[in-house]
Amino acid sequence: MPTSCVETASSIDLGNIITWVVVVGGWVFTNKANHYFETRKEINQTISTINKELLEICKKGKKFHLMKSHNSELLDEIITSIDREDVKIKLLKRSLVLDTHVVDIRIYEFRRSISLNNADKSSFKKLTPGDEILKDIDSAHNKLSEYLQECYYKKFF
Amino acid sequence: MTEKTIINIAKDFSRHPAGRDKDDGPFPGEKFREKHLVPILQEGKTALIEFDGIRGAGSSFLEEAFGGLIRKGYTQQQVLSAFTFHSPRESYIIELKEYINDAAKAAEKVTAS
Repeated sequence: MPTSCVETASSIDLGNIITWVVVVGGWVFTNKANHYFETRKEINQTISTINKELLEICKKGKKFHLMKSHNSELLDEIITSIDREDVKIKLLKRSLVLDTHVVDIRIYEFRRSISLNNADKSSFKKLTPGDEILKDIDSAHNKLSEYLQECYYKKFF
Repeated sequence: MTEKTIINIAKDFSRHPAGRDKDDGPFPGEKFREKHLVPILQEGKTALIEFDGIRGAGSSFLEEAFGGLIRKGYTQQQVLSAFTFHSPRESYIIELKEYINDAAKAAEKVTAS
């Protein structure tokens, strides 16, 4: 009799331990999965916001070159906005594997596409749709946006 | 050893540097080059160019200020050994070095032909 009592007690203990292990393990797994999905969602939202803002800058850049006369205020606003996006993108380094050198190159290509040629008062002329400068702005914008998207996919998929 | 001069664009020139020459506004690249960069090269000094505090700089300003030094007759090596750069945004430094490089290549082509 005493032997079977011991056996029953130890099998209950083992059952309890297994239950606890399953419960704690399940909780850890669910918590980790939730954290992963929440982080993914947050970063996706941040990248979406940055991409929307970059698209706005791209539109303003093209608008600047399509205007009848030079608009210094708009150009200043565009350049300042690009600097602001630079900071926001670099902050993503905390959560993504982001090569800041690549970001710097993409940022300067974007700025250059808008503010190197036909950007000065003395030489400004209204461009026509389809002009190479406008295509360059689109291309530089796409390269920057695509790089962010690429970093996101590399991290989460 | 000569002491390194510090040129802070925002404090010593303008927080809003823009354009190539005087027709483009009060603080163009040409003015910055002639007032701050050329004297350093002429006197054989070295300088640290700081971008801290500026409210952005357009590409044409950067190209005229730094690429313009090569067109004025200075070599890429002279320019890069005379100046070092500091900016909270590294993209400005990469960009201006690219303009120095492009201007040097253009100058080489002219010399070769």
